Amino acid sequence: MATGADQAVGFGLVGFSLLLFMYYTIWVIVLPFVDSDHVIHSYFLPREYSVILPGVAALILLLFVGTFIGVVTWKNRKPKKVD
Amino acid sequence: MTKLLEWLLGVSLISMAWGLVTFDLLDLQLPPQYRELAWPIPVYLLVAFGCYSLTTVGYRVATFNDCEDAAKELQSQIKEAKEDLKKKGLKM
Repeated sequence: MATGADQAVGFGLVGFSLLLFMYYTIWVIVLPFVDSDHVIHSYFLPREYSVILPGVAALILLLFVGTFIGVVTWKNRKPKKVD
Repeated sequence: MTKLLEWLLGVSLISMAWGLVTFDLLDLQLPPQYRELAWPIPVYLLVAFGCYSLTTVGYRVATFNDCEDAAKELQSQIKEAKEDLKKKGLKM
C-alpha cells in the first residue's frame, strides 16, 4: 500500500467523487419523482442548473488547460528558431 | 463491422431515443416526470463518467505500492550517471 500523503490524497479523491456522484444522481434522476412540496427540494437548485453548472465547469477547465499551454509555449519560445 | 461503426451505431441509436423522448417527436404523451428526467441525461452521463474516472485515479493513487528497492536503485543510478557525465565535461 502507498503511505501517508498518497493515501490521503487518493482516498480524498475517491470520497469527493462519490459524494459528487450521489448528489448529482439524486438531483437529476430521483427528484423528478418526488412530490414538489417535499422538503428535500430545498437542498437542490432549480433543474436548469444541473446542466448549466457542469457546462460552466467544463468551460473553466478548458480555460485553465489553454492558459497553461499558452504560458508554457510562451516561456519556451527561442529567438528566430523554434527547435 | 468495425469497432468505429459499432460505436457510431450505438451512439446514434441512443441519441435518437433521447431526442424522441426529449422533444416529443412521436407525440407519445409520456408522463411529465419522465420528460423532466430525460433532457439532462447526456450531461448526466458525462458527469458520471468524470466521477468514475476520478474515483479510479484516486483509488489507484492510494493503493499503489511503494517500491523501496527500485527507488534506491534508481537514486544510485542517477548518481552514477551524474559523475560519469561530469567527468566527460558536462556542467550541471
